[in-house]
Formats: sequence, C-alpha cells, structure tokens
Amino acid sequence: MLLTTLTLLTLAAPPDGKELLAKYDAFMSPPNFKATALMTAHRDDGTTRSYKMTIVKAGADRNRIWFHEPAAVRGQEILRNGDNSWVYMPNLKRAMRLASRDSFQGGDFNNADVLRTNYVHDYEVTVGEDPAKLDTWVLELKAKTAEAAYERIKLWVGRSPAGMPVRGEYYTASGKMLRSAAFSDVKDFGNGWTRPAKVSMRNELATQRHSDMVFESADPTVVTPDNRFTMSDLGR
Amino acid sequence: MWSALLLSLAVGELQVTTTGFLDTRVQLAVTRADGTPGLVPLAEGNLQVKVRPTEAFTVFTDTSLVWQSAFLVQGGEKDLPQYRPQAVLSELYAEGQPHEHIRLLAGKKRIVWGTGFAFNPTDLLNPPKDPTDPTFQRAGAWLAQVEVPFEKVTVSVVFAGKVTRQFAGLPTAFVVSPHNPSAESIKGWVPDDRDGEAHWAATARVYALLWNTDVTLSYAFTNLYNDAFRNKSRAGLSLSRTFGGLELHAEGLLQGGSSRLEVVDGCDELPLRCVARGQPPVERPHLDASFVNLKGLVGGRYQFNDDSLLSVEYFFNGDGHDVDGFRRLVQLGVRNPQLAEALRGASADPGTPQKFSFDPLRRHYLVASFQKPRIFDDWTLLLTLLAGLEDLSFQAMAQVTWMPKEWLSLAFAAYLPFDGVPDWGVDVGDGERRGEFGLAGFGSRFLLQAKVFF
Repeated sequence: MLLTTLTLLTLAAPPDGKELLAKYDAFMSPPNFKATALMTAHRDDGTTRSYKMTIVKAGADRNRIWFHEPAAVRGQEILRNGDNSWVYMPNLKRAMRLASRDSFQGGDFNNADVLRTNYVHDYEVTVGEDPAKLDTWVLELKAKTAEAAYERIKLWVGRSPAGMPVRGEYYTASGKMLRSAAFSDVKDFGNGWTRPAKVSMRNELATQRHSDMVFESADPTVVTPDNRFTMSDLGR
Repeated sequence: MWSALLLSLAVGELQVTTTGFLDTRVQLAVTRADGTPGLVPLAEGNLQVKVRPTEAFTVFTDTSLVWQSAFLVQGGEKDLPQYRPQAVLSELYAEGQPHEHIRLLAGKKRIVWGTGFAFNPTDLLNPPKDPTDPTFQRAGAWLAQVEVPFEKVTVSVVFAGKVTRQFAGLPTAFVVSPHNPSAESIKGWVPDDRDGEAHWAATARVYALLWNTDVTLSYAFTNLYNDAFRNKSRAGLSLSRTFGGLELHAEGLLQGGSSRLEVVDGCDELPLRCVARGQPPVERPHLDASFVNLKGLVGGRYQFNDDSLLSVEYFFNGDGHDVDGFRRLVQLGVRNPQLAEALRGASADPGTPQKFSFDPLRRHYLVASFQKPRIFDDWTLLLTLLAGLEDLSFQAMAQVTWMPKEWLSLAFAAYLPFDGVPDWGVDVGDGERRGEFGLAGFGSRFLLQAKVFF
C-alpha cells in the first residue's frame, strides 16, 4: 500500500509552477489579514530576544507592522507600499527608507521575508522533485525584480494540500546559501485560512543563530483602511 | 474632546499605550575653556503616553524630568544654567481625523520633513539635534497643522509660534514677548529678552511618492523664528530612494541672503573701541541681500550581510564663514569670551539636553558612521566621525553598547576632538592654531550610560 502510494506520487506529472507558487502565496499571505506574531531571535550564546508585533496586509503589496514588545522598540512601525518600505523610529520622530534585504529587527529574517511575500510577482518558477522528499514538489525561483529579497530561492511545498510550505533555502546569485527556513505547526486560523504557524529561519552564515516567527492569531477577514498604508500615517 | 473621551471610557474602547525609560549618564571631560564642567551627572525619567479614545482621535505626550548638575567647572562661574534640573516637554499634542483625507493637529510636536540624518537643512522649526546621535533630540515646536493625506501624495500646512520665554523647560510666553521683564533682567543678571516683535513661522509641504522616490517640496515663511530673518521666504526639496540595498537621500534649502553673524573688519582685536565710536563689533550684513543661498545635504546608507550599517553624508552650509570671517569670529571670541557668549545667544527652548551640541560655522562637512552589531554577544560598536573639510578638524565618537537584557542598555562612549591641520586653522593665542572642532570648551570626553526601558 505504502509502496503503491509512493509509486503514484513519483509518477505524478508536475503541476504548473506558477499555479503552485500562487498556492504557496495564498497559504502564507492571503490578500487581506490582521495577525499578531511573536518573533524570537535565538542568539549565538543561547539567549533569546522576543519581539511582539501586529501585522496587517491589504492587497498584494501593502503591509504595516506595529511593534509592541520589547519596550526598547515599542512604537516602531514598518510600512510597505509596493516596492517602497519605511521604518518609523519614535526616537527620530520620523520615517526612514528601508531596503528589502535589510535585516528585520536584527533577527535572521530580512524585511522582505516578512513584508514581501508575493513570490508570483517577484520570481520566475520551475518545478521539480526531490527524490528524498517524494511528498513534496521543489520550486526553483529566480528573481525577476531587483527589489526581490533573494536572487534565488528553493522551496519545498506539499503535494497535498498542494503548495503548503515545508522548507525554503535562500541563495545569492553566486549560489551561496544565506538562510534556510522550516515551516511547521500548520494551523487553521479560521475563516478559511490555514498556514504554518511557525517559520524557523536559520542564518547559514552564522549557523548558531536562528529566529522563529510564530503567528499567534490571524484573521483574513479584516480589511484595513487605505489610509493606514500611507507614509504620513506612520507614528500615529 | 472631553465628551469623546468620556464616551470611549464608557464603552471601553479607550486605547492607552505607555512607554518610557530611565536614563542615567555620567560625563567626564577634559576642559579647555572657562564655564566648562569636568563632571556632569544626569538622570532622565521619560514617559510617553498615547491615548486613543477613538480610531480618529489621539492625544500624545512625550515628557521627561531631567536632573543634572555640573561639577569641576573651569573658571569662576560655577553655576551653569544649562546644567540645572528641568522638565523637557518634548511633545504634547492632540490630533483628530474628521475625514479620511483631513488631519488636524495642535500642540507641541517634532515634525521633520527632510531626509537628512545628521542635519536637516529644511527644518526651520525644531530645536537642533546632536549630529553624532540624531535620535537624541526628541523635542518639537508648538504648532498647529492641517494635513491632507492620500495614498501617494500628502499636503501639509503648519503654523508655529515661537516660545519667547520659558522657565525650567516649561513655556510661559509664545509668539510675542511677555509684557513684563523677567526678575533676572531687572536685576541686571541677564539682558532684557523682550523685543516687541512677533516670532512665528508658516510652512507648507507637498509630499509625493514618485518613481519609488520620496519627493518633498516645502515652502517656509518665517519672521524672527530661530534666526534673524524677518518676513523671509524659503524653498526646500528633499529626496530619498533605495537602489537594492543602498539608500540615497538629498535635502536642500534655498533662500535669499544670509543671517550669518559677521565680525566687522578690525573689531575682532579691539571690539570696545568699535563700541566707543558707535560701531557694533558684529553685524548681519546679508540679511536683506538678494543673492541665492543654499544649504544642502547628500548622503546614503548601506547595510551589509552581517547587519553592519554604514552611513555617509556631506553637508554644505551656505551660511558658513569663509576663512577670514571665521578667523575674525574666533579671535573676537578668544579675546572677549563673555561678549562671544552673549552674541551666541541661547534658544528659549533648547529641547532635550544633548550629548554633543554643534552649531556649524564653516561650509563643508562630512559625517560618517559605522555601526556593527553583535561584535560579541549583544555588544554593538558605533563609530562616528563629524569632520570639517576646510581645516580637517573633526569630532570622533566611539561607543560600545551592551544590552544584557531586553530592557537594559549599558553604553560607554568616548568623544575625541581633533584640532585639524594647524596651517588651515585659526590662531587662538600663544601661536596655537586650531580648526573648528578644536575650539569647543571640551577636550576629550567620556560618557557612561545606563538606560532602562519600560
């Protein structure tokens, strides 16, 4: 029985890469949502730093984040609108531009990992298989815009449900792996949204470190007003 | 306002966010001039409260109580007013949004439209900031603002009234001088600060997100607001954009003439003789001049793969002195320190006590900073260089910060001035020549800081 299942999986024709990537995008980030998340950065010495935040998204390319904890970053905000991102610094009393590839709060995610999750828009995709993981498809992504987070990404996504994220590897143009991610704890957040509640991102340049992003609650029915995605709304 | 607050309390919708810090620091310094302290302990308790009775209405305050004192003061004057305890009302405002595209704000707020980090040439309203740590100045200006925001365009109009008298950090008069002279001026301890004029500024800006670039066009009309200009129009432009991992920005202000204070030729050596013959030793000869004057800044930031951050800015100060004008100003100050101190004046509201204060007197400056996090555990290294390019004098700052806990930051900083190339500096007596950054009252300074966030 198991052998038959594995044989069928092996013989299955690869699906359309773009469709599969669109499903990945839908799992990770539906068009609208409001979520509370906790990012925990695990440091080289075994200590941790935790950041609690509220994330909202509207449409394909607008996000905003409010940081609540720790107290040292309370009041900081991040806004993404299209290819533009800003961070509002309460001490500076103004917003500054962010690069997609800059580190997200000094952890092992970069800004685009959190803010720029529309991979269909940013990457060309081809589909393959991994003989060691026959219950997944392997998506090879190549950046088609300079604002994309990485030059190349290798994604393992589930065959059932199709497109469910399992693992990711993120590379430079020269093929050097910068980060790797494990997607786990698939959770039904209600209102038709199921996704891995936990993403564990490992910094492959400093392998002692990794950061976990855990979605504690999420609601895909929340539609945030347009005026919350303007630069002049930051800090308010 | 109060009805909205009470209603929100009744229905339980009131959102209150509080944060703040307790900051203690001790500064040890090598002094080089009279009136400069060798030891300054300071403790600042800061509280920031944001109250949102409804989504469309916010009241915010950012207030500090600062205890500080000065010890080991060089010279005879031991009581230095700028080192007395004070309240710092950095921000206190109410803001409402009666319509999706209209925002109204009144109170004290730090509004910065420019993109510069160390300097903001287009900022005509706020107290000056520390170019080696721009996050340190939190104080704004008393103003009223109407803003019309859209997704990619925002129009703002601001009217600001200057604080004309303040005690212990709390304002007692706005726009025009109070009717009565202060007790200190009656006793002759300080000059009478009343001038019978209105001190105000009106500014407007249009922000647009164009071609993935932040573009801000601004206009200001000011009357004796933070400078000596009367009924002065000025125009500003600032830009910012990222190219991959590189952020580039520029900011510039155009104005006619200059409010530069100049020493009359010959009065630098014998100012009292000039006074005796009815000639003020200093004047502002270009206040009403028509030549176009520019203050501008270009810079960029880049974050490396190890999260290190490099920031470089060049600042052109069109109000700065040429070498002869600067020499006369310095020599007047060297020979007559009390006169120089009186001429420098002091803002009624200097804002938060700064770790390093700087008023640029020359024209060309370079600011470079390099921050490397996690040099060991949670230790961050910050190196900052503020250099005058005309005499190659500079102020270097090296700081190591350790965050042993999420709520605790410990820092050690060294501020090291360099006198510059002697041949390009000015004579400060006894044949010694120094550049601009060698003229401060402080020599090397060392700062220990502990900050607790809550």
